Amino acid sequence: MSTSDYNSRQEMTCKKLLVGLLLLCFGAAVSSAAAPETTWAAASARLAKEIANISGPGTATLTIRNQSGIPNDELPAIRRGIEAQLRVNGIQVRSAETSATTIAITLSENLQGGLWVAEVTQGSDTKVALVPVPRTGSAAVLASGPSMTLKKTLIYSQPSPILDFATIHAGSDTHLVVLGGSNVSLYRSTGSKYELEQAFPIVHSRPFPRDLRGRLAIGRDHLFDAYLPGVICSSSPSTPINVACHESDDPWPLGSQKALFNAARNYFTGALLPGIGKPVTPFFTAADLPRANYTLWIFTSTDGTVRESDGVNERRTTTASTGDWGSDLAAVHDACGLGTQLLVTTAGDGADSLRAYELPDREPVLVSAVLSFDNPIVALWTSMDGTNANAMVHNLAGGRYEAYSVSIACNQ
Amino acid sequence: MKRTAFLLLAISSVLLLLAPADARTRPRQGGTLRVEMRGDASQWMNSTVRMLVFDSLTQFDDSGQVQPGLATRWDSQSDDRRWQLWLRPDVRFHDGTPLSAATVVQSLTAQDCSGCPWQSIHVAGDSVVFESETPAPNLPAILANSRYAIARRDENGNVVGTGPFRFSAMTNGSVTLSAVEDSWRARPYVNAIEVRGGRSLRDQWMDVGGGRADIVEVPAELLRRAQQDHMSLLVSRDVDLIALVFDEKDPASQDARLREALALSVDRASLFNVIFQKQGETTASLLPNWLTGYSFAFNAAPNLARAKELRSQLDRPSELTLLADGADPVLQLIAERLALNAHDAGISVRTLASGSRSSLRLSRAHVEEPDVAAAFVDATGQLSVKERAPGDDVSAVFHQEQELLAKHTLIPLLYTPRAFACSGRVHDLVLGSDGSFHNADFWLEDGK
Repeated sequence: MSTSDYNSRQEMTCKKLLVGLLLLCFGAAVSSAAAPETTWAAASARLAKEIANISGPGTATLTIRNQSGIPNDELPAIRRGIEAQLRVNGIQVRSAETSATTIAITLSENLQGGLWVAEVTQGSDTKVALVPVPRTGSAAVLASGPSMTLKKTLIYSQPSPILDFATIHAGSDTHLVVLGGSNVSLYRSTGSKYELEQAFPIVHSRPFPRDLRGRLAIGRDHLFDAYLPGVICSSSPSTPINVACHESDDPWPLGSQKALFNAARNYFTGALLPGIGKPVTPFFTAADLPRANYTLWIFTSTDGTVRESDGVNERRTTTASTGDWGSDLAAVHDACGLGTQLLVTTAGDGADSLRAYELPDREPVLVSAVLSFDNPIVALWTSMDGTNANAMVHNLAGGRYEAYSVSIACNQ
Repeated sequence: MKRTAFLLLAISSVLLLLAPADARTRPRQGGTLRVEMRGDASQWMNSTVRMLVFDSLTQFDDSGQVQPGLATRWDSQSDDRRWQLWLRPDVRFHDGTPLSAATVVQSLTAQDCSGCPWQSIHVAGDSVVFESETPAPNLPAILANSRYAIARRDENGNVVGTGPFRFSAMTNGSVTLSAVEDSWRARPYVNAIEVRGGRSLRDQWMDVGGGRADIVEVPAELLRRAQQDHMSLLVSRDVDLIALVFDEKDPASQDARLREALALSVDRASLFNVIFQKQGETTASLLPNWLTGYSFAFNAAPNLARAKELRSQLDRPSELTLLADGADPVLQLIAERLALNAHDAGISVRTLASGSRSSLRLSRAHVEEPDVAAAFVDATGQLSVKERAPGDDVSAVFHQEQELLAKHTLIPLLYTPRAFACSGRVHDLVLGSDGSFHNADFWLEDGK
């Protein structure tokens, strides 16, 4: 009997998460989710066995061509592996003059992954053996630039969308909370990777809107709250950790304000609590930049404009300064420059990037080099402690969703 | 012809001005997506927007894995002869009727099911049970096919589904599909889709260039021209097969040597280079290489010497008649070239534009499922080639395909993509692996 159940949840017991909760601090973790170690040994062994079943023992010539995404510099190792496995199965690879059997192997691929195809020819008869091979992963690359530098650190990746994440240091342990569209998941760092501790389903009665958004925030007397359209999920205040969701249109934390989110759409309504003095039009994202006597707010409005408001005056920024800004921005508070920078998304041709700005007056001033991502940035939030930004990226090539912590390094 | 080419060039040059916005913005709400097609708009259910209105029990993700659709989970028993699928709760048809196991059974039994891979369906609580005499290991993948989309008729006789858009109105050759506010997949960004039928290609390209249409057709044979003119294009994988199929009952088709000689005479490269301007791929395999990874193992190169040798073994081979739909000028061109290829091998082929009987016919098939075994079943079914369902691993499908093609009753020729040109105000419109629209995540720049 074969079974496919897409509703299964992993329920484990979290024993240590709240140890040292009073010492809780948040920050970027340096450990990353390593790509699975790639090995061709199993595929080589299976293919060699299939070939031997066709040809029987003896001598053969061997050619290998690559029509897949496997780097060509890995071909010599693959060839050595296949030759070794052929020997195990009684086939000696020789030159063409001494062999009646020819083996032409093509490293191919299809929608599901790799496919190694061996065409075994003896006289005029050709038989074919096929062995599926798991698709290989790709590792993230750190990027850096000159002057004020944006740095990205891959924290975690998974096949399903990531809306937000938070790393939590409790004593000597580092934990990761990942907010997805259907789960809030807790992971524990083992030093080289994160291992799942618990996954809690997000229960909601109404369908979530398209372009689903959500974010994590520190709870008042508990570890965290997860805000989603029309739903809030809160962690329990004591161990074992549990997460309970309830339908709620309560406003989401947004800097020093709380903002009502339209539960049927992908934007904030414009209603702020306690409010900044002036009415605000619906917006996708907002960031607050503290000043000596006031707070300057930046909004990416749903009409495509970027607006500034200090509570008294509101103005639309010039197209020249913000015309290439995307919908997502995040304020990062650090020791560089004016103390607060604005990270802004910009779209390229299938590859988004981040840039840092400061607003010494009212005009944005670019203060960093571009931090490129090779893929679309699907969400950007200020981290829970405000010192970094969380960038969620959809890796189009691998099909996975990646969570990056983006930090700012001051001028050297 | 020259005038048409100039006009298309002029229109597509206008499209150059419709560059997308620089910055990535979050999707906007509202607006009407304007789609144009050559066919009758009343046939929209057979068009590329079909799966925006209907859902199937299962669906495929981008990597070709079967995922839940209207069914959330499933299991099989009796060596895959009995499949049970549990339905998603709280789903309603567009007329408000709740989705139930009974409505699913009613939908699937209402259609001609001579090619369905099951013998019976029945209700079991909130689940549906499929039973077959032979194992159907890939049934969940097959059920993702739009042919098995779940539909019912409302009290006015209109067909309704459970998808993110509903049929709204049909006036003056146009069909309007409206966004479903409480769709279980979430409300679409755009308010409506207007499908305007009966538009010639020339008119479609003029309309998209002039901002009067958002999505228009680009046939594979014009794709290169559209690319050269820098039109904003959506191009699918190679999903449309053109193949020669022998009528096994025709006396002239009985000799296997004649069939093989004809297969060896075919110069696919000239079809690919001349008619399709190097768009798509030549193939001697039933399924495209992106799906299987093995199509190169079927030799697509002509071998005229061997074809002549086989021909010489025949005493007096009959003239073959080749049927190619007279309403399909591309198939007509291909048929004429194939007749010339056959002539070079000493085989006489007469082309027909219509008729009920012929030795062989040029046929099109469309690969819808990104699952190798399910696609094999679907493609052979479309080509009216009787084949048992293969095993569900790629090796089993390969060997069954090899066995089928060795008979030379079916000669695959070319795979081509499906393509559309779109206006600059359309964002995030993506084609499914089958070249149609499955995903309602698209939105319009101006929301109008």
